[in-house]
Amino acid sequence: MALEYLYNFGLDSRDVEEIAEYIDEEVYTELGLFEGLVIENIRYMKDFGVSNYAQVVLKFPDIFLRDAESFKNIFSKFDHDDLIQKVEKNPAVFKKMVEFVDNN
Amino acid sequence: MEKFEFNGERNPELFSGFVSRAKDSLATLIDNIKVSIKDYEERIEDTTKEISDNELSREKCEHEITKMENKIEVIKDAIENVESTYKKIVDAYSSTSKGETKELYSEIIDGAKANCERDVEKNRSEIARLNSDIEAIKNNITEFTKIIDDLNKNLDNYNLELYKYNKTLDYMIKEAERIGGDLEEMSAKKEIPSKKTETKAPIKKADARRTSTSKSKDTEEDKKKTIKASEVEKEEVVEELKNPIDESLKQIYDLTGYNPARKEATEETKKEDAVKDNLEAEAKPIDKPIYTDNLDSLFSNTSSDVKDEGNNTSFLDVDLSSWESILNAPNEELESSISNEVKEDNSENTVDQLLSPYGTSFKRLKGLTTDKISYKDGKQIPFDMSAEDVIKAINTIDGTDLKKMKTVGPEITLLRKVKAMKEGNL
Repeated sequence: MALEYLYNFGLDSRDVEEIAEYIDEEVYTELGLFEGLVIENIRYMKDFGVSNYAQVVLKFPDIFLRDAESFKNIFSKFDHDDLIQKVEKNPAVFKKMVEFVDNN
Repeated sequence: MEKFEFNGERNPELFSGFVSRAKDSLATLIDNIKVSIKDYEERIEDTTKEISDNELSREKCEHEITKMENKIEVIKDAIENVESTYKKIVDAYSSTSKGETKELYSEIIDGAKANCERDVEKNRSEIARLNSDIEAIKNNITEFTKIIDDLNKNLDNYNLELYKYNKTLDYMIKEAERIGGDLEEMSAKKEIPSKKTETKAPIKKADARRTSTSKSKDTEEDKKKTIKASEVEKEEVVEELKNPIDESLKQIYDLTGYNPARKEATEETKKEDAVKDNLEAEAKPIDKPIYTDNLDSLFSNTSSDVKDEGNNTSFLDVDLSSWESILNAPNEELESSISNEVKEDNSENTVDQLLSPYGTSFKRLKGLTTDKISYKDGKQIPFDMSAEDVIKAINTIDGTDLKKMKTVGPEITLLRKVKAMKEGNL
């Protein structure tokens, strides 16, 4: 399994299987191939203080397929505490934040 | 003879050639980039003006619509007034009319009604016309908005291109400066061995000239005179070298024994020397200029310091001393003279230089990836990313890639391109 490294971030085999089921082939291969990049980004989110980062990985793994600089840039656009609070309440908010940053 | 070594086995002349060529190429590239930047700046200026014009036109349209809508309101009020007047007339004449008066009043009412209907009809037609005009203007506004959106998109692209060109230009200028520095450094490094290898040349040459007139007068005084004459020559040449731009070229000329200004004269001198050499077997015709900055140290040595008189073929005399031929040699020829190891080093250096504007390096890109592409069905293909792959990816960057780089970043965009290449999709 190419996504085994996600076990290190609180996901179990069922989570990884779930991810593999619903994402398309392209994202799957990229998550496997660009392991270093994805790990870097998940670590950043974790260190930023988002406690339910594993939920974000589970629901929106494709978000982590971007440069570390670009990923950090998303966090810099919002208030630290507000971001954590909102993402912890609903992980889908982070997806909206990414879209907002990408479109502006 | 002292073997000249520089950075391993690489020959300094070869590298001088490389560096000079790189410097020239960079200069050409910088010029081209400057032209492109100017072109994009003009395009941005034109597009901005066009956007501004279109926005002005759109504003005018909006203003026109407002005016027309106000006019419609006025007409509506007029219609109401006409109808209200008619009503009043009808009420007034209907309630009081009797007999013949009633007939007369009926005519007045009918006349008023006809007038009212005519006015109302006229005003309604005017409203309809105005509404039609408003719709047409709204259409124009939509068109203007579309044009403005398109122009804004173009403007974004131009700005992006301009940004990229500016960044590349900065990088190129830095590289050009660095290469310029390298060139000078190489030349400076070459001076040291050239002292030893060339020292014998002027002495022998002086000897040759002296012996052609009087062989037996090879005294210390003669040597001193030669030294003085050379020192005068040195001062003159040093004066000439004041121009820092020419300095590097002069150094190369001196180091390689090539001087375009003296080329013809040198050939003449060579012929004369050759005749003299026939007379003196021990002297050899060497007509290469001494590297003038080193004259003091050269002539402070005694002639016994010069080793290996028989082998006076310095590194300048081997075929590589023809630096012009190196510069003009086709790339394949130059490439073949470099070991594969050097090629690999160069690939990595090149890719790092190419990646530098994107704020990354080949090593980092390698570190972000695994060594295989895994598919959902369990199939795997190896992913051995080489510097050449990355160079290829960089060379195929297009506008779409630049847009992607703007959102997700250059590293993943380049990695995706390499992946696509490996999968045969690019």
